[in-house]
Amino acid sequence: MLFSLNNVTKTYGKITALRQLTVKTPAGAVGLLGPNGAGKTTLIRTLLGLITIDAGGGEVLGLDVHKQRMLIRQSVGFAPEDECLFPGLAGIDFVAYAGELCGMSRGDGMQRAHEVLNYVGLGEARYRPVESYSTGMKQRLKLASAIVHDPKLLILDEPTNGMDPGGRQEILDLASDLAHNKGMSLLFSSHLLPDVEAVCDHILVLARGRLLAQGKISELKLSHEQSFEVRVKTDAARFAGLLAEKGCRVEPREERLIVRLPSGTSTDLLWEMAVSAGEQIRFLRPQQSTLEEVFLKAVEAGDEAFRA
Amino acid sequence: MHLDLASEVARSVEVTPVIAFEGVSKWYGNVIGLNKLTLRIPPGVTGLLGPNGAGKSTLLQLATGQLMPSQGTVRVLGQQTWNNPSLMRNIGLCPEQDAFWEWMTGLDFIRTCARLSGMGRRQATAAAEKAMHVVGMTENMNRAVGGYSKGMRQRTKLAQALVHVPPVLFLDEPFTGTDPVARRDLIEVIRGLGSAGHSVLVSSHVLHEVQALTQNIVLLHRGRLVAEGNVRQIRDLIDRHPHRIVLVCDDYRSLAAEVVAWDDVEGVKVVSRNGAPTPEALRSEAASDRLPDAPSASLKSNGREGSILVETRWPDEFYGKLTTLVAKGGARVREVYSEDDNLEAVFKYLVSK
Amino acid sequence: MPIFDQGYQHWRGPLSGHGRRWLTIMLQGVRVQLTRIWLRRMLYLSLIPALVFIGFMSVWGLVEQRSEGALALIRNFLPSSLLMDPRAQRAMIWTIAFSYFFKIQMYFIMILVAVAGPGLISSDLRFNALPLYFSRPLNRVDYFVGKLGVIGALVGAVAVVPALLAYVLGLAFSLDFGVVKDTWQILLGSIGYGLLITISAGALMLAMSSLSRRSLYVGVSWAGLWIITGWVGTVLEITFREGLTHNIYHAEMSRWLAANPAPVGVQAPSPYERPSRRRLNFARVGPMRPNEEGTKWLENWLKAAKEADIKAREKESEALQSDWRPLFSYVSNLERISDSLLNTDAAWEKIGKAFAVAQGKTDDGDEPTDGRRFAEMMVPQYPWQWSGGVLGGLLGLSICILTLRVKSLDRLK
Repeated sequence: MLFSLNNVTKTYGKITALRQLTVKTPAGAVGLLGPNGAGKTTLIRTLLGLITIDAGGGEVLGLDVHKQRMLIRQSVGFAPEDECLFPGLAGIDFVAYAGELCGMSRGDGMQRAHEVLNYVGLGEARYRPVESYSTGMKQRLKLASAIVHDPKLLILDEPTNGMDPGGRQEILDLASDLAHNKGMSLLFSSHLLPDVEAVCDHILVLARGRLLAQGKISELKLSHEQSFEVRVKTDAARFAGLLAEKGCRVEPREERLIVRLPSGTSTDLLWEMAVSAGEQIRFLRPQQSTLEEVFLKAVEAGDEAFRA
Repeated sequence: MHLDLASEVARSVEVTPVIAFEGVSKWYGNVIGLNKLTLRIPPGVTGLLGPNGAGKSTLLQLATGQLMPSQGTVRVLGQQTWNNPSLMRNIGLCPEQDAFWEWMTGLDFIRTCARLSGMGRRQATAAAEKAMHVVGMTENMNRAVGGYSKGMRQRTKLAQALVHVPPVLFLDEPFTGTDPVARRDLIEVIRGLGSAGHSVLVSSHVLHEVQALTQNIVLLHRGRLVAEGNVRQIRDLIDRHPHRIVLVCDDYRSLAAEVVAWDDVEGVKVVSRNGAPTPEALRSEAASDRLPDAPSASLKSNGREGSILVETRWPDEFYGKLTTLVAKGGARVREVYSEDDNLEAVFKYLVSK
Repeated sequence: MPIFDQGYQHWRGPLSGHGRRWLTIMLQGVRVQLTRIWLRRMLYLSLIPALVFIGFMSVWGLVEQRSEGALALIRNFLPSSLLMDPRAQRAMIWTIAFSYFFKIQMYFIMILVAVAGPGLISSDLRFNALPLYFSRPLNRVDYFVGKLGVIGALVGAVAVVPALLAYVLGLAFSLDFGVVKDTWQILLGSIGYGLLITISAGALMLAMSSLSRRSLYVGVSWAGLWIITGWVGTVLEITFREGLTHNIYHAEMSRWLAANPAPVGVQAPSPYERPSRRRLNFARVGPMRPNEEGTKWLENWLKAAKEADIKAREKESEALQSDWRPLFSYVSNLERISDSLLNTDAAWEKIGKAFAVAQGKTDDGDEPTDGRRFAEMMVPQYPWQWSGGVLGGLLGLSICILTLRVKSLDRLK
């Protein structure tokens, strides 16, 4: 069990950030999704033991959220979303200081900082002052200072903000490696759903302070039995027409077609039709909802429930 | 929502909107931003991509008249951009940085921008309300900008670029901070603008967002133009990296044997999936006593699904032969997809050091 | 295994409890400040008074041992009445020496706080380091105490450590453990004073630092606080004292002149006028030499003026007991507390008396031996509780500002 919260409520004046939230999450790579204002930041702060919740209780890594807040922070690493720096330090001193603030001794902190900077790929740049770093390097530095004390849970809030595609892929690879190969649990909060899909196995969807959906990504993305996504070489519309004649239900989506085969047929039908139409099939996969669809559906369902 | 804007534009624009760079170079001291760039951007939505430092911001600043080119000419709608205030009426820019007059309400801010681009008072108010409605900020437009969340600020920035319904739009990282719900709506708005005849140039690092907007891209690297046009056409032209096509079927090994005989196939790789034997199992079987020429059960692939990865430089021929083969019953192929026929792969191949 | 995994390694070392967290913050702050060249230069400069002070304490120790060289050196500065029995004068001399040393080092402390202090919190606010701090196992108290410790380190290096060193050397050179019995108050007073400066000036500087993101503005504001309030306090006090004495003199002289008008032949002086040699000489040898009566009158006038002066001074002494004007100056408040901690008032009085005696002023002469006047010149006379109140109020204000400006992550946007 990574963390579990029980009927947690937190209000800031008139705004209710978390509303009787109850959630149990297994260890592993967990994605945290939700529209703006859903309470994701408040949830993260609760998990860090940073705020006093008004009602309810919970535990993180087996430590009580009310009574063991300092201990929680010793086992949790956090890379915040906005730009944060300790001023006036070189990269290596920065990460060593971050470790010392968690309780490491100076020697341990320095040794571990070098190790961790090697892992995130910051080479000679570690001896330069952090104010001179590019965005990609700052994100890596943030990640390094979050894992320097070897936490059991790593919380990443929009870690790929502002990074170019190459850098983004590297950060995602690092996060995935830590979560899957090194036994560190991960809570990944992001608006970029393909990033979450690439790294996480399990997701939580929050909206208006409540939990809307949770589960394994592979289970939430339903597969439809007789539904396939098809792309042909030249004329999709003509192909669609021909398929419709054979009793399929066809729906165009961008340059592909969503084909629902009639019962009793299989994909053989598609190949035969392609040859007879003089087309090539260039893409054929069973239709699976994307994570974006899962998310949007959950949010819409939540909105309706709220209005009702 | 966007249909009103679209029809208005269609009425007001006579010249085909075009952004044209001719041999443009820009340097700052001894640092070069753009290096002899020649580029023409057609109507519709175009993605502007490139790693950090490629020159994307320089390009946008030149096109919006904030910088003067050191060499060459930059023309938008047929006119030069530098020192041309009247052209600015036809250009909308959604910049990356966040800079508002924080005390104003959102609506006031947009209305001020509308007036600054030359609209009359009543017209500005109407246009501001419409623009805020298009970006989904109707509920919050009477609150001060200082209290907005990041996503709301981003949407206000977009509204500011749209309010005077310009035929040419420049969007720099338009979706940072927006949640997927807002992003879906804004993507629809931008696609609508593109199909209505506006020329929209979207610069972004988030490739899947660009992919959702358009198939036309411009790729910059180190100040030079690397590729321009339709993603798939560009992919076809990348010789160095053969297409990697995954085929999932039962009896994948026989399919592999069949396919490797074709001329256009350069490589075939077996990718284990569910039910495929693990290396440990194979080793233990080999270690146990078996007659040398009796095939072990685990090596047969009958009844188990697996996939093979085919590498080819002539995808057209390959797909043709594959379709014929499967239709004739030569193999039961359940899935066909290409791993690198997308924008991420194109980006990686063209920009890797 | 011959090939070792180069990827991420786990680490299960010891993590100290959060009681020591403030020390980490303090050491890091000191390290960062020491890299600044102007701070280092200031620290080197502040060594000069420290060395002079330590030198003096060592020389006094030698004086106590009746060393000829030391006596020869000291004779130039102090009246020999004191040097008859140095041991008896020990407490007084030490008190004055320590008090003077702290007064001088106060300048350096204020400058160093202006140089090192602003960056402490304002650059954390500017670079948004607070989420990094507070997402780790430490709370706001640790953070503030750690930052305060940086200022404490500076105060210690500039004032307290040299003072302790001087104490030990003075003790060593005098070869007499009886020193401790006489001067333990000085030792405790020095340490206490150092703590007071750290807490008061430190908290105030931290509060100012938390109000702005630009450390330059904070530094300038601090310099303003120090220098301008100092001027205001001094100016107010001087105008008050001078005004008071002048008014009293004027009142007395008016009364006397009204009662004793000037005789014919003598130019009547104004009630403000002080008898000057010139005036009297002129009267004696001037063109219109006054007669017997006139001369007598002039001598009476001189006497009345002296009495009026004495009365003015008495009233001034009285008024100084409740003179609140020095409270305006921040540094005066600190020094007032130090004066009561070290009991410098008594020391100045004694030495003032000794100087007066040495200059040949006796009790029945023209001017009384007035150590009291000397003390009043050197030490503010109002009750120390008032300064305590001002400093306490400033401390409270600083704490309020700090808790408002440095929000823990609960309310951080």
